[in-house]
Amino acid sequence: MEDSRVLSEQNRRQESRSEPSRFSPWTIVAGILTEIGFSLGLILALSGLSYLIAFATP
Amino acid sequence: MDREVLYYGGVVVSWLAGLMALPAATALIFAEWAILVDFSIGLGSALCVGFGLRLLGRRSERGLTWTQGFTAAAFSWVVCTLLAAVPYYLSGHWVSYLDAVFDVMSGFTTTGLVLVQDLDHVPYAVNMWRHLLTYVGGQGMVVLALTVLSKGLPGAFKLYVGEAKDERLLPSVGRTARAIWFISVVYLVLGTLCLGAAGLAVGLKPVRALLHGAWVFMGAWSTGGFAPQSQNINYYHSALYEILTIPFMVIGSFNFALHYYIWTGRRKEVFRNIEVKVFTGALALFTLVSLWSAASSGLYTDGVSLFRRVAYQVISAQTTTGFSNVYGQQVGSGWPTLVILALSLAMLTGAGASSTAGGFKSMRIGLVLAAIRREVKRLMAPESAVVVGKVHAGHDVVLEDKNVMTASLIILLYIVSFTIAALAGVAFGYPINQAVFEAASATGNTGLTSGLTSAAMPALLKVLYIAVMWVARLEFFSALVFLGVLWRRLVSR
Repeated sequence: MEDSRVLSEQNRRQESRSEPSRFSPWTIVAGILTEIGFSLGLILALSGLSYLIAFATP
Repeated sequence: MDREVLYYGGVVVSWLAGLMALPAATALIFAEWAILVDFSIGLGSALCVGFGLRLLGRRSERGLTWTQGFTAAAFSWVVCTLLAAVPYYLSGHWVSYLDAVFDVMSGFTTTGLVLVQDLDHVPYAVNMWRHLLTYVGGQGMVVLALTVLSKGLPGAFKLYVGEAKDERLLPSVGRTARAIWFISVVYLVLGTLCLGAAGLAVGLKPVRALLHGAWVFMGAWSTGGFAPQSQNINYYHSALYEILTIPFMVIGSFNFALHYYIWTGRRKEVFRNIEVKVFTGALALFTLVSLWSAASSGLYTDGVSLFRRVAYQVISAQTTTGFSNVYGQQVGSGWPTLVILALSLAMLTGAGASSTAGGFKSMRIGLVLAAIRREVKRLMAPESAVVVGKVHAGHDVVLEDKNVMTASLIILLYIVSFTIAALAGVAFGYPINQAVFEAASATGNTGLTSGLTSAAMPALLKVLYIAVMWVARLEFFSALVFLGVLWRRLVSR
């Protein structure tokens, strides 16, 4: 019981420390590019895997 | 039903009426007069019901209790679904009102299973309504209402949680709702332009290219999987079109909190967040199994087909979108069992919590895995040692037993719901492969089909799938509280 109270308190403090940030045109553009970049990375990795499996399967 | 619940339900229904003005305007622009009448009747009905509920109800000045918040959210979804189905039914493209309700629930819950007849010839206004429903359903009907109204609605946060969203990006729930809509609308503009250009490249006329671009984007972003043609994404026969939908499916399945962190400058979060790690790991695992099974069985043997047919379905399943570029019957009868199983598990596990996606959600799987790891560590450590588990979601979060328990309970409820739907499919005489696949699709709010879902399926199974889509989208508790309140009223009479 004591342990769970301590953990909850830790999480509450951590949350209150993280101040809400704000959008700005630069962070939005950079954010969109990051998300699209991540998705393109996934596409590349999965297409590479597809070719590898096609090559490796007799 | 509490009068407060009726009032808040009426507020959400009034927003639905406002939303119906968009397909009505589409009908006006394209001179679809018959359908304009259908939408006018639908709009009028929604306005009357919304006004009536507000009149019968009572605005709570002290805010809502948790029971009222959860009940109001679940109640709003039921009433909105019944009203949104009116123009569908009147249009004559659905065999019965039940079929129209099925498709509306499928849209609202971003599932994507369809019973519509002759989709290739439905009017523009109907297609606008189909995609608008799934786009709004992804963000949430309640979130839409709160975007503008939260200041005047005490207890709005409880309504917001009742709709299965618990991330508070900003101090007030109204600002959080507006942030969610801001992100969604920015991507709507970007997605419509990209897919519109791809539409021109595949030979669509400019207006159709733009409309298809907007609709397919809505289907991808909301992870709803609706498309304007019956062949879904296969209609375009274009690798470019298919590849362009992938980023929007993936990004649409992210938690809105993750979008918020990334858009406010914390870009490394995309590599550190527990949800992204679990999502990427699950996607890699299910893709590998499916590709290997499809290649070794001789279903597809070249890299291009394996990626475009198999990997694409897995991405669609894992993000719980439901876009497809193969025929459902082909999947149900011709694909290896192992691929069916991998796709079913991908649909069930799903993507980001507080996103537009369905399924267990990566966050919950991450929490349970971290708890298992913590327990193993605890058992291996000296008895006096204190072992603490942590996950990273925006910041380091210490693992608490109550969070792990809630996550496990919701996963358990998904499994129970899936099992009931799968058993019902088998009981109605469908092959087990198809029954399991379709049950996973309905429970995970995905929309991929093995060919089982059709207007010819038994009415009872349609009702069961409607219920499964609804409870799964609301993540069970709101729906269960709503049913519990109704049951208590019934028994006490």
